[in-house]
Amino acid sequence: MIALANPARFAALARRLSPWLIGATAVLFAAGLWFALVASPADYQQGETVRIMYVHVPAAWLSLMAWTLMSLASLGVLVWRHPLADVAAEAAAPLGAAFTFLALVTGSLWGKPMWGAWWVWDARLTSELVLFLMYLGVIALRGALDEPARASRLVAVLTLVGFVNIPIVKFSVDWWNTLHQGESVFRMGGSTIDSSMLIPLFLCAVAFTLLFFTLWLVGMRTALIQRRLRGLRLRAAAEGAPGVSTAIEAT
Amino acid sequence: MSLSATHLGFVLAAYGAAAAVVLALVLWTALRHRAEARALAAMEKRLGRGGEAPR
Repeated sequence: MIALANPARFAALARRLSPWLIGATAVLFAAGLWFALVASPADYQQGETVRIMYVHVPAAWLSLMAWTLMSLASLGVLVWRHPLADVAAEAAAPLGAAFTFLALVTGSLWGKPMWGAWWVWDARLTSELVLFLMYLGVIALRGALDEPARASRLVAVLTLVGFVNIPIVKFSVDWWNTLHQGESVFRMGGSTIDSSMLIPLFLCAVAFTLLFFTLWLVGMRTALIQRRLRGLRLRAAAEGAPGVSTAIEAT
Repeated sequence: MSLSATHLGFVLAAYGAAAAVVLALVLWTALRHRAEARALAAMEKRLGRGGEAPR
């Protein structure tokens, strides 16, 4: 772990890991989709609509996981000043936003045939929408500030404050009466989902999670390149290299 | 999956949305990485600096 604190070593390791992650993600997606669309049975009440679960639930899980990872990274920024912590938080935010958006859209597409409504101001749906707006908020805040060190600290504080919403999303179905169904996978007394649907769900969840980590690693490498590029541009501008000052103004 | 099932359109729309989001994320991540790596390589070439750039 200490060795990985060096950004160059981290970038090299991430580059070596990427092909394996891409391969594993593709295989798991193929298996997950086959189980989700072909091998798993229709639900006795919901019919074929239950198949939306195999994309909706992994996306919703990832929306929570991404913010949790960003919160851990934010601790790394504020407490340990780890060189990769801010890079990790920055790269996770757009991925988290995308998966939260997907959870909201697929939830809406599941809600209309089952509840008769595209949207209800139910505690689970509303807290998930708040999570999406929070993702947009941290992305916008980082983009709005010119000074990277200040942006990093402010985004870390906002992320940690926003972490309070994660248990609200998770336990909203237990704390309030919601139209959204209660917890059915990770619950006391075991899952209420039959293994013929639980196995495809886990396959799809692992596939989505591997996709997240693959894209996260590439995003972190990109953020490292951007930092190196910015450093070089600033140094070059200070040394008076031709054509560099306009490049800085353009970024 | 039965192709004559009711609400099939909702299932297809959900998988279509998932495919679109995943594809957009993959393309955005890959293209952005390539563009930044090229910009870094060009900057290092312009400044005449050697060394292994992060890729």
